Parts: sequence; C-alpha cells; structure tokens
Amino acid sequence: MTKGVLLFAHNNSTVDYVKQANFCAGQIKKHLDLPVCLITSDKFNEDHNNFNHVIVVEKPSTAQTKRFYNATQSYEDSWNNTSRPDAYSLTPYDETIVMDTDYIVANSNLNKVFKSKEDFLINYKAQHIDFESKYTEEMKYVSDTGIEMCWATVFYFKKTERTKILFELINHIKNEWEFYRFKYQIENSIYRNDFAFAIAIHMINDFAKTNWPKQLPSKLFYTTDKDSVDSYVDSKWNFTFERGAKCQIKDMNIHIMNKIGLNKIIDQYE
Amino acid sequence: MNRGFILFVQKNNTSDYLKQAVACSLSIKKFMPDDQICLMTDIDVPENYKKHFDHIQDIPGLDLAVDSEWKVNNRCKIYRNSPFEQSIVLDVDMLLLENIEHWWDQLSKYELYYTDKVKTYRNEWVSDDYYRKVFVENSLPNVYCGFHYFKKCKNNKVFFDLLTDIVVNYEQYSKRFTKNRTQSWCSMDVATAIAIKLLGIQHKVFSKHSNLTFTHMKPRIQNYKSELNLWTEQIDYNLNSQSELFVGNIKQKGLFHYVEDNFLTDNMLEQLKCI
Repeated sequence: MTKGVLLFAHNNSTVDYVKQANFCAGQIKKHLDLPVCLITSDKFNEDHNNFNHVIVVEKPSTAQTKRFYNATQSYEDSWNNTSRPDAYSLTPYDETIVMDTDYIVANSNLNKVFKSKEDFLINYKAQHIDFESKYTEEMKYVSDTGIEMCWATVFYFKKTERTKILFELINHIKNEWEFYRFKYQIENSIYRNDFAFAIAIHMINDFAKTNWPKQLPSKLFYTTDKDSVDSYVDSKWNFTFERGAKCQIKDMNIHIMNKIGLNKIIDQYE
Repeated sequence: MNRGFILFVQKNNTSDYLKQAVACSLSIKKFMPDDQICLMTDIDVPENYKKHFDHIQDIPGLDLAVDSEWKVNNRCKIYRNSPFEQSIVLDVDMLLLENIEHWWDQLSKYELYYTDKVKTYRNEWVSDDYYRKVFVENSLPNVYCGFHYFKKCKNNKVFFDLLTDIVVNYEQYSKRFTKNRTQSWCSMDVATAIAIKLLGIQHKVFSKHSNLTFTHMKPRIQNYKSELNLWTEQIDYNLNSQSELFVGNIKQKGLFHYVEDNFLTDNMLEQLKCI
C-alpha cells in the first residue's frame, strides 16, 4: 500500500499557495517522512523541490471571493477551494493524508492514521491555542439549526468503495451547492469544503450521527487570520493573538489561518 | 405477561389530543404491530377512530382536573386502570419512529422507569434548564413523564397512591417541596418528581446509562440561538412514505415528542394512516 500526503495550491494575487505548500511539504518530510504530491494550476518554480509528485490541473473556474486577513489588514481576493473533492481521483497513493497548505506539521502524530483500520478520519472539533476562545455554536454546526460541522483542514482516507462514494457525493454537493446550502440552512453562499464534507458524511450515515468517521489522532489546533504570525525560529512559532497576548509553541501541529502572515515568515525562513 | 402502550386523553378547549392519540397509535402499530394500545379518555371516541386502539377505557373516579386548563391531573389514575401488567405510557403528542422491542427487555428489569434526560433533534443530550427551573432550584429529580414504564406491583401501588395524593393536595406539597421557586399549576412532572424524592427512589427509577428516552422538541432547549417560540417555524421537517421523519434534515429515531400542535397536520395524519 502506497502512502503519502496530498496538497492543493491555487495561487491568487494575495497568497502564494504553492510557496506555502513547499514549506508545508518540507515539514511533512521532516516529521512524517512521507512523499508529498502537489495538485496545482500554477506555474511550478524549480526552487520548490519538496514535492515527490506534481499534478497540474486546470484553474478551478470559481467566481467566489473571500476576505483574507493579516491580523488587522485585509484583502478581498478569489478563493479557489473547489478542487479538494477531487482528492480521491487525483491522489497517486492508496492511503492519503490531505491537508491545507497552511497546516504546519510539527510532530509524527499523523503517522498513526496508517495503523488505523479506518477508511476515513477527520476532525469534528478545533481548538484555538489560546485555550480561551470559546468553541462557538458557529464552529460546532454548519448553521444555527443545522448538522454537526467537521473540519476538512486535514483528513485521511484509504481507497475503499465507501470513500469513493463519499468523494463522489462531496463533488455532487459542490456542484449543487445552492440546493444543499438551502437544504442545510447555510446562510453564507460561499462554498466551503468543511460544510460539503459534513453534509456528505451526514448523508452517507443515513442522515444521522454515527460513529463513522472517527476523529484523526491529532487534535486540530489553530490560530485565526486575526492573530499575527511573528516568527519561526528554532522550530518555535511565535504568535500575537488578536487580544494582544503572545504565545510560543513547539512540536505542535497547527493550522495557521493567517496565510499572508505565514507566507511572510516563510519568505524569511527561506 | 401481557404488555401494552397507554395513551391518555382528556377533553380540553385548546388541543385536539384525540387526533394526536390516533397519530401516536398509528406510529406504534407501524413498528410494533403486535403490541396492544389502550386509550384512556373521557371523550366519546368517534367510530372511525376506535379501530386505532385495542382498548378504550373511561377515566374513572372524580375529575381531578376540573380547574385545570391543561387536563393532566388525572394521569395519576393510569396505574390503577391499566389493562396491562407492563405498561409504557406515552404523551399523545409523540410519534414512535422505530421498532423498540429491545426497550421492553431493558424496561422489564425495572418496576418503575422514568427518564431524567432527554435529547434534542440533533441527538444531543439536553443540558439547558430553561424549562426546568423549578426542578433545579428545588433540587427535585429532573423527571420527564412523557415516556415512562411501570409494572403492576406492590411498590408501584404505593408510588401511584402517593402521586395521586400529591396531585389532589398539590398546593400543600408545592409549599413544602418547591419553596425556592413555585409553579402554581400542577404538572405531572413536578408531582412525580416530588413523589420520587419523597420515596427516595431515584436510584431505582432512573438509569445513568440507558438510551431509553425521547427527543423533546420544546424550542428553547435545542441548542440553537433562535428565540422563536415555535420550533416548527424555525426548522424544516417532513415525514416520508416510509414513516421516516426528518427534522432539519436529520433523521429522527426512537420516540419523538413534537410538542407543538401545528406539527400534526391533517395531511400528516392521512399519511400515517397509509403507511
């Protein structure tokens, strides 16, 4: 069985996702010792040499935009997040971990997924590293009255008949997003993988909560795009939270949502 | 040992409880066709409704709910008048949505069973005490009578005699047991909680682990932020031809206590008849 990590990167004028993916791949190799495959629609820079495979796809035709924050500054830009449901058909591996390029691996916890008998693992909860921010209802459900949320930031799957159906379903939900967001009472019109994954899991489970899929063996810690990314020195990340507190972490996998701030640090690091 | 479901309906001015009892009975018969259903009522049941019940019994004795708008006080008479040795009592504004044969097996280990925890439509345990201040502030057992079980036995005779006494003398019991926050009207939940507390039988009538409970659709305990007074105005729901009920696109299972009268439309009743 082949194993590896899949990263998706589609640049916009605000964030160089390919550069971010290259850094992310470097951390994966260091801590997980796994091959990394990049799926991108952008020009590939030869300096980005942390990838074992690169699959070039067409730029996703999405008109959706979102506001990208770098702490107090923000920029409106295109958001190409629609190719992740193709993970099943694109992956060159039998067992795949998919992660956001702004998810930084800092330990080997995720390697435990390969010892699992599960065919799909994902996180249902996320935890801000300040341990003070409340896990709000907005983060728990896809909408006020809707189903439980899951976080497609990082997930694992092996190729089975069930995961094949799961990804076909996610693709269907993506293609019929207007219908599904109405059906699941989601106010925001922007397509989000977190929501599409949650809906597909709910549907496969006969519209109820079951014990499938189980959680990843690594808790999903995050900082928001309103938090500043200050530095990365000697494997230690330094942040200043929106409310002013400072924090340093080491050896902890983390989703750094401030992509602009992360890329500035990557520039310095490289 | 014979067993069955009991549905209790007393005439009142606001809700068509008889129609609800028919719907409840239809849903029970769909999944538990061999189980008996007894309707206890003071209403003259129309012929076309009679076929939905195996037994129809009058509410015996003096009406304990003369001054009550809610008409639940006479429910304490269910025990004495149940035709079954083992009875499951359900509120009529409930639908059964799956086979619960295994519940009978679990319940048979109890003489008397009540639930002290209920679920939201998202299958989460209810933690909000919005409707339960009287219980919380007076340290009363958090009992829900919407679904309960009893066997005919000596201990239960004592229990239901006490419950009847509490209902008849509610004001006096209320003064003593709900000092911190008082509910002026007699609800069966509060009266039952007082009876359980008085006899000290919490450890016998509740289960810490079992799933023998129901989905309770009172709107303020559903873990959503909306403060609309009716959940039926907030969440989409539908019953399909396989008798599967979806609320907010979530498939409901077990016992569903819909609470709001407008949930049960004539169309839904007709649909239940066809299933």
